Amino acid sequence: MANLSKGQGGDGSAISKSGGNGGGGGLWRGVRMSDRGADAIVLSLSLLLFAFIIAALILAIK
Amino acid sequence: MSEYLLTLEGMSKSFPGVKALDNASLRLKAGSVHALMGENGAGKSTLMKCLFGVYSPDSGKITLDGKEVAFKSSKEALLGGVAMVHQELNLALTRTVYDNMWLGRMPRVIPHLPFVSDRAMIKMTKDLFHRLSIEVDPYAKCGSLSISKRQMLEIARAVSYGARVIVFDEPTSSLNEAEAEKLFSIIDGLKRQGCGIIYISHKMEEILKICDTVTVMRDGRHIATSPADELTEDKIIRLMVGRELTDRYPKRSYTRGDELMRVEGLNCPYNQVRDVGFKLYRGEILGIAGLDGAGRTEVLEALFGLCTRGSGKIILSGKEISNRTPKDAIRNGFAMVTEDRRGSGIFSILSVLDNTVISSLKDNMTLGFISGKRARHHTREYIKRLRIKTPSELTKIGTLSGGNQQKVIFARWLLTGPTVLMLDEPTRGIDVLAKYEIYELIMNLAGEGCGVILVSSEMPELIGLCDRILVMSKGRLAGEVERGASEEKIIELAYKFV
Amino acid sequence: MEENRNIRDKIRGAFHGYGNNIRQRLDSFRAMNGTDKRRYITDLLLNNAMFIIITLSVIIIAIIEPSFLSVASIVNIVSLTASRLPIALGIAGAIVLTGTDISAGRAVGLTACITASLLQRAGYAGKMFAGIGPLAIPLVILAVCAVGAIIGFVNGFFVAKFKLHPFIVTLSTQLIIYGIVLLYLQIGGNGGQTLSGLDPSYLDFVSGTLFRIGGISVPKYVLYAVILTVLMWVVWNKTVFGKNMFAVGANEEAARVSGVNVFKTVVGVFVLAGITYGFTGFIEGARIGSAASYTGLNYESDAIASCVIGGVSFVGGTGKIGGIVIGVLLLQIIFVGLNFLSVDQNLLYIIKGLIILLACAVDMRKYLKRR
Repeated sequence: MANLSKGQGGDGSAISKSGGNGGGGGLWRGVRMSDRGADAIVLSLSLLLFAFIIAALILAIK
Repeated sequence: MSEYLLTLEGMSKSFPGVKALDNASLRLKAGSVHALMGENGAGKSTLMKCLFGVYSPDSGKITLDGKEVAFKSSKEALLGGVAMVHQELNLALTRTVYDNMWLGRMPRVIPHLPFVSDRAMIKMTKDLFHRLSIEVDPYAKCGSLSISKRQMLEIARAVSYGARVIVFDEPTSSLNEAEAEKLFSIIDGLKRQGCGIIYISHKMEEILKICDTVTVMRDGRHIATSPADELTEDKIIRLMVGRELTDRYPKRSYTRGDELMRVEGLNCPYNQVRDVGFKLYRGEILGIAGLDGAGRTEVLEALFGLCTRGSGKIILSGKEISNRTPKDAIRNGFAMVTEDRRGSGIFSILSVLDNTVISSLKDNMTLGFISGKRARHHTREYIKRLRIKTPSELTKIGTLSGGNQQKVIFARWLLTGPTVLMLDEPTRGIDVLAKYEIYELIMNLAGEGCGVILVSSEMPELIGLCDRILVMSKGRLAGEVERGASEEKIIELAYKFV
Repeated sequence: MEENRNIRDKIRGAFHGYGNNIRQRLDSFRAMNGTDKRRYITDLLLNNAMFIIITLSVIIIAIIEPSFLSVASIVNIVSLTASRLPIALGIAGAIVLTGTDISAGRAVGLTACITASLLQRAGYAGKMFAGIGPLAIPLVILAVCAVGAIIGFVNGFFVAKFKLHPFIVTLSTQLIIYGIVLLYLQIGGNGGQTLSGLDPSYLDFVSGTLFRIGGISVPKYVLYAVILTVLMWVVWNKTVFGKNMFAVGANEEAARVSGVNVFKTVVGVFVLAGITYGFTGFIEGARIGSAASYTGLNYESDAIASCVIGGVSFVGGTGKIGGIVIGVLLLQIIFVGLNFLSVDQNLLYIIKGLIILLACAVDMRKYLKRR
């Protein structure tokens, strides 16, 4: 139940600081990253995808 | 006995090496607000965990309305009328307020058919909120609610289960003044309806304002219970703290060396650390004190590259460095022993050997491959030096005692040859003998020229070991005291911004 | 008369409310300061990156080849969407529970084969069950949904009881199902071939004309898909089971403490998914016109991608039926569009992979834990 890993006994005043992390064993738990890192990833993947789509279309028209 | 709604008597609980509760007791009257106070580690949370069945006490008796009870889980307690208001837990954050309120007991459109009536849920929620004077939008998603509103939701849930006893744990630590006032008026309403409230908090002003009775604990023991109007802040501090400082610490002689590290204007965007700056001298043991949640660990994490630093400078031996990641920090000579040994310290299924050399693998390589021989040599050396009690270096570290596990962590960091050693609650959950050995170790390291930063919740430990102590309060630096300062002065500073 | 006026007022009120909503959002947007505005726009653009890219691509494709937006083409897209929707609706449940179900494709294959084998026309040369004629359609539907339910039960049981990760469990069942398909195809007069020669009544029941638009016939299975979608919506939003599913996915511990039977909920979700796979198998048999060991192969990757695009996040506990419909639609639009221009097939693999990656990245970005 409660997160007992805060040492054994004699722990802090917060009684149970455990809680729903993003799904125990889910495909990912809360990823820790800076804002800019995440923005960069989404942006670059978007551009990459779009580039491939356009490339595919261009090759098809030829 | 029937004048009391809830009683806990003779509660004792021991863990290996630590006696968390020693004949503690608490008696709660209906229609009253009863404060439970004590330093970190005084036993308040352990006592509550026993009440809610998270721990089973070694001895003691709990009665509710005169009848003996022994809850085996929070759920049992809730159904029995004893509820706890946490800060963020037990809410499905992606779901709406009304979904969370009635989870597990949803009203049906037609009885026995599995179709839920949203309309009924919303109505019941609105009625309940109205009765408790709570203003929360039933349609809002819990994840979007402020901590204050989530708390009110938890209170409403507890009341809707017919809770007679409600325990609040540091309820105002994330609230602003207006929200806190709102909370107090709700608590007042509950009190007048005959509930018994247990209020755990560090904030003395609040306690003296809204509580009827105060119980102070220390070292797992019940120290005193008294009506609130007979107490003052000073009296409470004296009760929380009053103990002898025996010769539990090795002798220390220290003269201040050169400045080793200087921190200026440390600010973190994602936690509450604001504008922290201090100096660390060579060979010094610098303590950081403060209440739980004051930001002590966060400062260490910021210095070690574990959390994002918004602004601020770290200057090591005259050169400015930026420890953006732990790897950088280690390269710059920083070491960090984390607070949560089991969660972020040891690799419990790996051997003592693996745990020891993990941070210094580069030094244990020959021709680009990890040398088992060198690794074993280093490990054995430290097992001897630190007197780690283990059958062999290949033993699974999870089987060792807490104190020995901690020594292995120390060995791990010592192998990296640190200049700045940061320790976060290094002796938590460790027996007295091992503690002394670790204190000796810390002093020796400081003596060899390291700078040591020590975060601890144990006041005597800080006072006994440190040359200087920084006191943090609500994410800011409240003040600094020299060796020989009193516990009262430190606690006073710890409350400065609270 | 009175009733009509009430209904009219309600509709007017709804539009009014919608308009107010937009006005509110515009006002609060204007009220934000510089950095907040920039963040809001960045969020808006990045969260909808997929939608933007696909829309732009569709516009380009339509410019190059205007017949892409012809009635025939649109009906084709809608039909394909309808055929892929049920399986996505099923898998979505598993994703809401923070899991996944990669046995879906093979399950569809098995149920398609079973359906086909039971509905081959009498007198067909290579018929599997030579003695009997095609069975009654409702019976077959029931049978394959039951098979799907059993598969779902096995999946759900291992996940819920042994706390095994859904990925591993469904990976195992995927392989087992494939083996069963191969064995099944050997039965009777079939001898391992593709099952074809399907009974015309079955073909008509599934792909027959529902109605015509501009001369193009819309197949009946579009209606069946719509019905299933509505049913799923009711289950997700209006039943105890649906609410419990979301609660378990969002915070299993909180659900348990509140008295939800987590075991039953998890098993139920997988069983429901299995039933949708059976339904899909039934449809696919007729839609394609045959069933073989490769039927249904990799269907789950499209379904999962559609779910993620549609907002069913991997962190669990959230998702909307409407989003899933849009996700399936977008995915179909882009691939029909690309195939319309006979794009190189190899590139399609890369594009699909990038789409899935992008969908996951957008999802991840929404649920960052800032530290």
